[in-house]
Amino acid sequence: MRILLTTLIISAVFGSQVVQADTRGNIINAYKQLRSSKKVAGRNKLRLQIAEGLQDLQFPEASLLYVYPVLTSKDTSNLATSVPLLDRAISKSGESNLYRLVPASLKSSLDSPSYKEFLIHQQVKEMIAANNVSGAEDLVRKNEGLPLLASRYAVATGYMLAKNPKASRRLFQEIAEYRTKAPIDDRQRGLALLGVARAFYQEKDLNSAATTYREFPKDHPYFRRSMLELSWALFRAGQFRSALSPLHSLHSDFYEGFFQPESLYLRAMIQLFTCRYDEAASTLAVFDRTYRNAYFQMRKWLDEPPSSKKNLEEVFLVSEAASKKISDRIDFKVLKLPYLVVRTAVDEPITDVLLRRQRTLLKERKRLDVLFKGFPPLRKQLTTFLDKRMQRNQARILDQLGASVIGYAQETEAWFTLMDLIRLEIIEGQKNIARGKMYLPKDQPQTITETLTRKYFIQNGYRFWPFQGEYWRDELGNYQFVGNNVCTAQEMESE
Amino acid sequence: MKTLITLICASLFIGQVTLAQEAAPPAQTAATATTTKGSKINLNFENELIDGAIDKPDLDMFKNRIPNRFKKLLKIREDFSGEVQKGQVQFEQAP
Repeated sequence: MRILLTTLIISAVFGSQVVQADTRGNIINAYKQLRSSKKVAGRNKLRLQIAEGLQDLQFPEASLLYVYPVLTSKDTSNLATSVPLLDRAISKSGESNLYRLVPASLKSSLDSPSYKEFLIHQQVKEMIAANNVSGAEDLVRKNEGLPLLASRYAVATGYMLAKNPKASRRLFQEIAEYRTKAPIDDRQRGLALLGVARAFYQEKDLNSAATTYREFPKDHPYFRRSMLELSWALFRAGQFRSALSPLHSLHSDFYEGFFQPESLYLRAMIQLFTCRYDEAASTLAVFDRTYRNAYFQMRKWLDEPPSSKKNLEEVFLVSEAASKKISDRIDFKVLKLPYLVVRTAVDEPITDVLLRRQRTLLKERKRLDVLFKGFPPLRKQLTTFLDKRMQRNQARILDQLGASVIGYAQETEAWFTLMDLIRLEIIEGQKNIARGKMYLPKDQPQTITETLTRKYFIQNGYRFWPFQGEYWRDELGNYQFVGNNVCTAQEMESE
Repeated sequence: MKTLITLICASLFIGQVTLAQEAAPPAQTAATATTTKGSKINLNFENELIDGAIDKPDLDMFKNRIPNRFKKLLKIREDFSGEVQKGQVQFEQAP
């Protein structure tokens, strides 16, 4: 049995290598003919043969080099053949914008689901831009045969912006249901689940929002985001103690490398609302220590921007380390921007997409380099094409990084103002407590709960010691805050 | 009937006398008001004596007098529509 299995595996591997060698040979032959051929129609036919071969070898990006000239050629005899190839390349590379290159006369001949979805999505986006969200939904409903997930998401977003969270939630639920069988870390499913919770939040159905956030998978890349939003939902529902619990996870070692001033603001505010002034003051100290320095570093970066090369190096270094989970090996001193800024910037939606694309291009380039090593002219042509695409992609990454840093700097300034308001409230609260103590008998002994130097928390007759051990990923989301509201009746009345 | 009316009048008269006695201020402590012609009133506080002790304000007073001034200015999240909008690109380009 074992021998049979081994034979089958070897034959499968060997077989695929044979097929690969054949396709490679066909591509090289077509390329040689292309160089000698002078007739436009014949050249276009050869180009399409090369493109098809490249796609068979899983080089969708490189194949575009030979599809573009056919689409833009004056010779129209090969257009009908080129369109399906373009369709295939687009569906594999995910660049649906390339459909714009298809000549108008041929658009009707395209009947692939991805092209239909593209067309409908364009219409949906136009309708939403014209504030016709319900019309866009009708268009989606008319085409129930297609999943139209991106269009559904766009309509749901339109409803949310139009302050109609109920309609928005319905569409997010549809997307989540459609992606039920997808892997646990599926991004579309994650965004849909977050959308459902966010719609509940906007509807002010805070308990349902909290339940949905709590069901969010821990292994998902957006889990960090869900924790912050869960905390907001619990805070607004008046569950102050529970609201501090998700923040424990956010402020653990796992997420300390992220730019999340909002989480510290929320923590300080909850502590303020529960009259834990000393704890709120320590949260403010953490905020100052982290974000004031980061802010000055960002301003310096914006005033004296480093070279593009240096910035790209930083982005790739942090992005690579994050994907391999080896961020602790980075020497933060070599970075021009604060680590937490770059780390969060690489996770921004557009940058994340561009970085993934960069990795795909790089991977494709490496494979091409090896596969066509024995045929330098074609190798050079294809790698140069991919290099240009990578350069354009890198320029977009840098633009996004700059936009993110400007956004973060402005955001931090706004948080400074809000944190200063909290600071004033904390001083006010501390002052009132100190004044109250002035009128107590002087010889009254200090109780253990008033001793600020103690290192443990007291509740229900027990002592709770701060966690000083190791954080484990599977524990995230399970840390519990054991404190409670310590406001006096008067303080509660003045709220 | 006559007896009844007489009794009512008598009781009313006695009541007024009682009120007048209660309202009469002690000569030493109350302020006296004298009216001249028209509506002008002169108040005399010369003999008014204040007998009080210096008390420290208590904690309640501070807490009720100085309510939270800035809490209303603090930003509370109304929605996450910005995040949903940002997610659109990610959704479209999801692998």
